[in-house]
Amino acid sequence: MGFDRFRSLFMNLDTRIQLMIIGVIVGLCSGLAAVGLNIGLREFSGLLMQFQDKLIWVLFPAGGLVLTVLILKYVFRDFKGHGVPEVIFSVSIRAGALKFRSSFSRLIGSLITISSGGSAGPEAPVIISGAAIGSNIAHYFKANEMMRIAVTGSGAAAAIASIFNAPITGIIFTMEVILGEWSATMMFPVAIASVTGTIVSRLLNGNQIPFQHRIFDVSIYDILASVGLAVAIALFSLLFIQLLKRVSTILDSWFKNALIQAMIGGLVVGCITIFLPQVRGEGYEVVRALIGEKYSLGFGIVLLLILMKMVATSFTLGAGGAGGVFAPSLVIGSLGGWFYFRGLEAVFSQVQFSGASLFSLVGMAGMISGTMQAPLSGIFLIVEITGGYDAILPLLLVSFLTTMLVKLIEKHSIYHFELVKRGLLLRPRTDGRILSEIRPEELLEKDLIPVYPEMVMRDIIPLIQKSSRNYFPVEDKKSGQYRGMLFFNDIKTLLFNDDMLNSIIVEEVMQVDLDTVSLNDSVIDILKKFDSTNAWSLPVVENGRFIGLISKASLLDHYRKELKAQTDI
Amino acid sequence: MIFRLKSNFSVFKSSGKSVVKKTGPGLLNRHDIFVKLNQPPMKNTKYITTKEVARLMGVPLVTVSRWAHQGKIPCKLNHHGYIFNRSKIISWAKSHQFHIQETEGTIAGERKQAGVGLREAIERGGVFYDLEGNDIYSVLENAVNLIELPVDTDKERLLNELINREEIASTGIGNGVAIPHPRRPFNLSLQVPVMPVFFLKKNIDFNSVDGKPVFVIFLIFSPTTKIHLEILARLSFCLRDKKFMSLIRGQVEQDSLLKTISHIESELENTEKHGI
Repeated sequence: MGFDRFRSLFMNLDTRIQLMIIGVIVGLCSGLAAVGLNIGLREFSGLLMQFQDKLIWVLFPAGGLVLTVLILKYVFRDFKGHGVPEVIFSVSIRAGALKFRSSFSRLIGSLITISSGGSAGPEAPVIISGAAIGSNIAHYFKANEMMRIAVTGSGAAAAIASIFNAPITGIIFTMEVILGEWSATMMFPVAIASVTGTIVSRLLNGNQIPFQHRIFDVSIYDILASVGLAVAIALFSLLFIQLLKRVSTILDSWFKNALIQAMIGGLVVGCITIFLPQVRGEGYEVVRALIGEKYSLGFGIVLLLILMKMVATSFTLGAGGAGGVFAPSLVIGSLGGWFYFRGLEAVFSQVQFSGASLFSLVGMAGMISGTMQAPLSGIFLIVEITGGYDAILPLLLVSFLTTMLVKLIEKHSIYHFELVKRGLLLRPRTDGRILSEIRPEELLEKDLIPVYPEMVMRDIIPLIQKSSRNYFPVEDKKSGQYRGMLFFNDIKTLLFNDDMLNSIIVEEVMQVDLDTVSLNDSVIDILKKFDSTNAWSLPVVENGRFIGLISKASLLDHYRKELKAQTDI
Repeated sequence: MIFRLKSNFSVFKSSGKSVVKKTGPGLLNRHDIFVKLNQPPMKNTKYITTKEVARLMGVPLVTVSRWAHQGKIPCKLNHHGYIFNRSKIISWAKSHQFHIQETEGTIAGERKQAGVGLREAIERGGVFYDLEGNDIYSVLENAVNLIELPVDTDKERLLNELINREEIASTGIGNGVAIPHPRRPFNLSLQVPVMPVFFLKKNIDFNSVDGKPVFVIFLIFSPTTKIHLEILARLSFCLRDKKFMSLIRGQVEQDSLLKTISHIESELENTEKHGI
């Protein structure tokens, strides 16, 4: 009772205040989820560390993956995958609707996957939980769809903001990757949630990549060298994307059973971690060591580490592990930057470069740009981690160059390619989105006069006088079933012939082989039918009965109105 | 628009010099019609329903409720459904370049317009008996002089237009009926059709299609082509009615003429509504 009163009070508030309150709640939940997941990961990993010297260590990733798959598939009945595409799918097709159980299922799954040794990032699970929390709060308050989309995006923003203590990155990531729309109305709750998430993170020390601010002395050589870095990072990105795609499809086609997939994938990861324990988990300690310049590994080992991190992540995620590619991308990027810097130093030994730390940071931004096609997110992440604009020039250069280079081969980001392939990525104010929002019944022209197959032409004349249209649906007199269409154009010569008037019946002159559409068809399908049949109008038949007509003219009229309604003023 | 017309009518003056017999309300009483047309179709309350928004913006009902659901259009949700603040809707529609239809009767598919009925047109024009004249020209001249028109109307030009039209093709449509009218809507600042009826003193040759002499003239002034077509359709429906024809042959009194017409018109509207 109390809750209902609270809700009705809330619903009477101004929309902006509603958005603000929901934004704060979502930011809080998402921030707590992020911090909670990190604490859980630390505790669990510590618990499992005591088995490090034993042989059973190899089996931990496999065990973790099997447990994750069991829980996700049989307890929560959720899909496999990293979760971010699901959030994007939800805001582009389902107006931000997400299942309530998504708000914790991935958190638990990723806790098991990552702490047992799987190589994956905790960002995606936090993003989907935050988004699901936001979506369900919006649903509870009966918010409209635009608000729900904005609030769903807010959850994602708060997740990124609290993990990296980076509020701007949270906003930019949401706009660039999740929503694909830069409007003030959308940005408002996203910004509120981002701020709240950051506050939670600061209070509870949730920042994953703490960095002591220092001044980078960026010289012209560093900037020139960053062009080469962009090429190197683009290659790593392409390799990583390919591996992620391939391993998943190979595992799917070789092993039908999800549990066997998980076991095989886990064993591969386990074998890698014996030799390269740095590959384990989300890998932030590697990033911290690299940007803190506390790393002293050989040139070859680093290259191996980069490749193995890719393989381990691909197997972890491909085998059904819960987790994302954000943290692995950061690890690969920082290692790649470090690797490139060491190579550079060896070749141009006289030139004074700014340092491995700078290249690791820029490499991280490049990797985010390359795998996620999100250059701005990468740039702002590094700006916020380092707390300054010292590195902005190489950052800009590497981020946008990498994005462009990767786009030459991979048109869509790791989050989007699956949705694009299935035609499910509909960005706001695009043709596909507008068409997907119009429903066929909105286009229906109903003011048509039905005729019967047995009518002679003379009976048609008064109907033509009365009708405002040039076509008539033909229906069975008894059952009312749709039989065909009668076009004025087809019969006009008959109408002026007195002998024919009484001898020709409708059945003989109606068109029966016309394509029909149903109200369940999407407007996109209907348009395809228009194109393939060259028709100007198509009859709509539902359960064998004629219920109206959809014409290209009314479609155009409606399309324009829809576009006008969606235009931001 | 309507205000301009109102002032036009306030300077009307009666101009018939040889009014033989005139019954019924003339043009002067047309104020009533404008009051009716002028009435706001919606109650000027603050909130309006989905249906009214759909009518106002000229979009289907389902579309408006979808927009409300999606949050594209400003609205509130209460336990009856969505309600809309009228002024907010209007400013939203204007800023999104929607054409707002403030007056009623413009929904797609609704063909009947206010004041288009035949009976009203005759009431406005009046019924005249024993019109003098021996040929088309004199008959039309007398008819034009009889009817009441806005003072600034160029009656000579109007007459010329009518004669012109007769020269192209006779408006004698057979069975002793003629329907003279200008070729294009004549600039009479009309909003509604006006149709004075004249019974001739003696039948004249009108070059009719069937060669029969004409005994009655329906003079038609329509504001638009669309309304002209509607009037023609209604009139031809009446003229096909045997009872109606025998009535006008007997130079029936105005009251029973109007009564018959409205009876036939309501019959026509009923068939339109319910199909065959």
